[in-house]
Amino acid sequence: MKPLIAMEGVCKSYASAGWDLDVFDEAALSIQHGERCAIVGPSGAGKSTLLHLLGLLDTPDKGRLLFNGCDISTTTSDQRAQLRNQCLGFIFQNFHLLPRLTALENVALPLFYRGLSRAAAHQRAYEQLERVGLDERMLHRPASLSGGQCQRVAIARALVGAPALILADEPTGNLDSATTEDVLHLLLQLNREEGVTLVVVTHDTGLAQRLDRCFHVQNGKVTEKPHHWDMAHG
Amino acid sequence: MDKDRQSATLHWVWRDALDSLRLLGRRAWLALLGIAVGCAAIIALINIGHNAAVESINAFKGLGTNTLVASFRPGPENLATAPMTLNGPALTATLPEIQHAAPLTLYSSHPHHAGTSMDAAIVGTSPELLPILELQVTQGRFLSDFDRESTYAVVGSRVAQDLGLMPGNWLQIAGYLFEVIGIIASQPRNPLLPVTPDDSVFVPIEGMRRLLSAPQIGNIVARVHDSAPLARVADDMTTYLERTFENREVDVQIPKLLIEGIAHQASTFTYLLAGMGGISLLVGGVGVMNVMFMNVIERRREIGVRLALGARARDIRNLFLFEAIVLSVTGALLGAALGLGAAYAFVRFSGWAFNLSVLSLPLGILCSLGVGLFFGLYPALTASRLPPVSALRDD
Repeated sequence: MKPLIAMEGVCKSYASAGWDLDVFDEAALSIQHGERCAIVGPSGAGKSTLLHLLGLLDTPDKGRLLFNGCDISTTTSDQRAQLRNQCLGFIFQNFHLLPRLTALENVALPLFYRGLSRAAAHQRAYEQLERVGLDERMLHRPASLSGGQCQRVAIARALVGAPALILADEPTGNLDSATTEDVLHLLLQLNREEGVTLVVVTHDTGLAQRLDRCFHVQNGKVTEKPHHWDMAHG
Repeated sequence: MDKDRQSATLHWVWRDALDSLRLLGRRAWLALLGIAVGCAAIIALINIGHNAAVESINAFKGLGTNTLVASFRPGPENLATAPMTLNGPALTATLPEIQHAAPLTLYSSHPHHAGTSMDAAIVGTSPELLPILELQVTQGRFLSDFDRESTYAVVGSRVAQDLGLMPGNWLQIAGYLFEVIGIIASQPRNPLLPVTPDDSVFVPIEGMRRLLSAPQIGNIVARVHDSAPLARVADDMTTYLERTFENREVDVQIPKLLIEGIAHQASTFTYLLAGMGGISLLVGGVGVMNVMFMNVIERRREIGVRLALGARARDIRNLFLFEAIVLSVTGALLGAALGLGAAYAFVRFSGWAFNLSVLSLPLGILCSLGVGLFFGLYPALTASRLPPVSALRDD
């Protein structure tokens, strides 16, 4: 089966303080439809960079990145924007909700870039908020929601476009253990019921162990570790 | 890929822009004020300049646009013997472009009536003066060709008022009694004319010998047919007069050219004022750029989120551009109202009649829109060029 996303010989470096910092050197990975993956590794190893590459927010300097079989290096930035809009859902550690919009408007925002009518967008956003259990708070602004509620709004926003892949960057990093469990449960349920592919960047060993695959980012390479492998040795 | 499906509807973009402006709060108001004041300055200054020009030109308008004024240069004393009177019909026969011509001989005096007296100019002239200066007779009549030998006088409105004169009254001038036969309506003072009708007493030029030992014509005023070329007629008239009145040098002035010169000067002044308005508008534009740049910097994260959710560079550009458009349009309209109000107040306060400079409105509004857009475009382009990754990074 064609992988949902595949990296082959990807190199990526950033110019930082006059130095060219090599983040990836000939890195490779492949993720199938419907898989649940964790990305782990020490701070600064390039987990977020990997997520940005998989999220089509950045492009490799060298090598191939295939999304659904389509080579990303041949796409225009508008085409990548359209892919992000229609195939991808992002969940951030800091939620990144727009503070002046209500929960409902935040969730409807991706549909806005599809040219949906306001009524249709709000209807679909409402359905997603209902699913994450926040339909009664749809007119609240993020400032009046708790951290867990904000993250559920963000999940609803990631889901509203019916994406094939959800990319989550430390989705539970700012949450207490009870809400962490809530959010994780919600993500896993989505994967089970809808077959949405999950890619989660995390520091949390417990969380990583509940996902099928675990990619370790270190020294410019991405290596897959079996689950019995103890991350403390990394 | 399906290109048509993905585009933010206009309605959304507008709503978004309005929303974010509302949340910008005081800084949006400052930018708005900058544009509004700039636009108001342009419109107010153009209108004030325009009204000043209209006012100064109005002062000369009374003379009409097809009048010529000839004056005799003072020649050497004794030698100069200008004629006492002018043969009007001979002049108009020789120069058919001239409709009417009238001589003027001026003499300052203190006419008396019923125990009061005042300073007035005694003007010896001929009946043709009436159509040339477009004088209006309120009571009685003007001088006629049959009055040449009579001691008749027609008085200006101020003379009539100050001395309490009515047609039929007697007016004493330098020991002679003149009968008042008519009173002339008040006319605005015209600096291009050697006489001020309001303060004058008009008498037949033939009778000036009673008042002066050697009366001489000081000026000749003439009215030219509408279609005639003024400059050429002025030249012909100079030649004719110099030939007729030998040994005298004649200057023929064309008030129309003077009026045009004044109008030109006034419009230069208007340009100057408009330029000052333009500078203040530019300052307002820099204010818009400042606010929009701060806006872009503060909302870097939001730009990143929007990019991650599928916004294209042009969607981001439009978002900020529409904010600049809303600021510019509101500012321009506000400024237009403000500028008109200020100009109206200034003009009325100066005691002039308000006369709207029609061009000032589109000019001011378009300039403001242009400046707002120009200065809003750069921050919007900057925002749209932010790479998504760096826009998303937490600082």
